[in-house]
Amino acid sequence: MRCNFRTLAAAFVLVALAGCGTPAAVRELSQTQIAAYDTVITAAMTHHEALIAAARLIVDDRKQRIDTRTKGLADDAAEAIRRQPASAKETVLEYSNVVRDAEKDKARLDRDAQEIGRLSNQLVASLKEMKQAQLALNAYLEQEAVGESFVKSVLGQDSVAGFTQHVTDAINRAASLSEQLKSAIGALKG
Amino acid sequence: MADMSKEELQQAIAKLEPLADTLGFADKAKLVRLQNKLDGMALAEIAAKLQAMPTADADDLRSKVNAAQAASNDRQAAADAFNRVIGLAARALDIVL
Repeated sequence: MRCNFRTLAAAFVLVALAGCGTPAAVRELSQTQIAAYDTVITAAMTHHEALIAAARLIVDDRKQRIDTRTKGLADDAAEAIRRQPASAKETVLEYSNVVRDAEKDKARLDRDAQEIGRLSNQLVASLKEMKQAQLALNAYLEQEAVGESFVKSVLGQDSVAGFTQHVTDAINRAASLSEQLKSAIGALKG
Repeated sequence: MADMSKEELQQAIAKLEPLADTLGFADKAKLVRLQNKLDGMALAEIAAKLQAMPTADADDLRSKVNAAQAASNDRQAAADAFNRVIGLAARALDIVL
């Protein structure tokens, strides 16, 4: 995925060098950015599915560990009561607190997994809307004779080159995010 | 224990774990609670990371795109409308990506 982002970033630079300041360059840049959105959206959707799958595995694994550990402590509680019957009430109370907290810990796993799914889905939806915004802008660019002045007034950049750099930076950050998410997913599975 | 960070939990567990076989029941119970709490936090970091990435409000963005398209016959109105659309998208792009 990083290679694709790098290729796109290089394409942006070429666009700037080839036709900086011309309406054609602006239109070409807009078209390229639409393609970039497709790539970023595909990456985000892949991350979304990978995150959901990894989160499900982690929830199941950690819940099983919590249950095994908590059930194992029951044997220790029985042994403690056998050795010190006078402390039986405290031991039972302590064990019931562990069981209660274990249920809270498992509930947190479910809650976090649900939140990860919701936020990841929201990220994909947001990127899709941003692509729609770019498509609308592209349609406007295609029918209007605009150039540097449009880039400056609408995009808040001094030149096509400046805007290109802005987009290149964004694509590089997307590649970085891709790597971070891959690492996070790997760490979760580990 | 309720407010302990992941690192604090790991440190506390590292102190108790080597002594597990010699601990009394109360300390064993404490160790299990710490270990369970740490397992319960397994997804907390990735959830926090996603929460820290504000996204563009999809409904807001959609309404602005519609407004921009509706204003396309008026050059200034269209430019203003697109300015708002791209402002929202660029802000999200900066933060999200």
